Amino acid sequence: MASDDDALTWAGDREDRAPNVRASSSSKKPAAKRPAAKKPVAKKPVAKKPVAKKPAAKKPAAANETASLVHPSVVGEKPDSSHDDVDPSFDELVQPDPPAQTSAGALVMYGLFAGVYLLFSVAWLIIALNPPINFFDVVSSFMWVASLWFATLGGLIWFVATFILGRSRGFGWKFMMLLIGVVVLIPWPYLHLAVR
Amino acid sequence: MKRGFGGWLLVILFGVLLGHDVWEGAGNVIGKYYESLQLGLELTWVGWLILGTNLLAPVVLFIIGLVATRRKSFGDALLIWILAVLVAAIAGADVVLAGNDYTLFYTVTTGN
Repeated sequence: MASDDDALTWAGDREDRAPNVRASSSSKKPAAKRPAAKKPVAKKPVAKKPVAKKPAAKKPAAANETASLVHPSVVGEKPDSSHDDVDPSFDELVQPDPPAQTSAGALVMYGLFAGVYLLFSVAWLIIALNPPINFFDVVSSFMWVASLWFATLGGLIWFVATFILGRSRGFGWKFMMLLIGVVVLIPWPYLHLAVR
Repeated sequence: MKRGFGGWLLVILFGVLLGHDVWEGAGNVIGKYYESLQLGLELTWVGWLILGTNLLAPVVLFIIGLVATRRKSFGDALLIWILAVLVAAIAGADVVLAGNDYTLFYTVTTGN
């Protein structure tokens, strides 16, 4: 029986059976029973018959191997899509997450905001070049002139900051930020002068 | 790490700039109040709103900046602080240049 087990199992067989096979083949204790176990050795050719049939059983596997060399579409099978997922293209390797393209409407909107900001900057520039009020204190005068020039560059600063801070955000956030900028950057002193 | 050494440096630097705006705002409030007393005019609610905004805007912007720059990179924090100072500067310029006496004071004298 032990020899039958040896013939019908192999080292890579199930875990629960493999140790038993090894124990039966390597243990020296049942040496007395060995002759009895070796008796079927004479019958080995009989036991090996199924082994001799193995090549015949392997024929389908060999056929599968040759079939795998043929493209699945030739055989009539659907191409394995998972294989495409495994091998990304060069573009996917270089840029795994390509940025979403800005729509034409969004670009037009950004252009409109840029134009409004440019007009505001020109208005603030007029104020900065001709400040209606001057301070006599050095610090106050410096801060006053600096704030006017800062306001002149405000449109550019706000526009750039919106796109830098909102680089990972959508169009809605940028639109809201640009809209807030329009409200904040309105050149009230210029409008006041123009009306007067 | 909420804020690194550079982040705290920005807080101090822009805190001083915004503090100067608060100082200017307080000067505007006090100056316009004494001006109204000398002219015998009362400040309108729009006038109080403008002067109050000029005084409180830098404080509010400083708090917003403190909150918004947490867990931000140095570059992003710098941009946010620049925007805060920009808004404070524009608010101050609006009050000083566009806040004329017609919007700040009642035209009818209260003394007569």
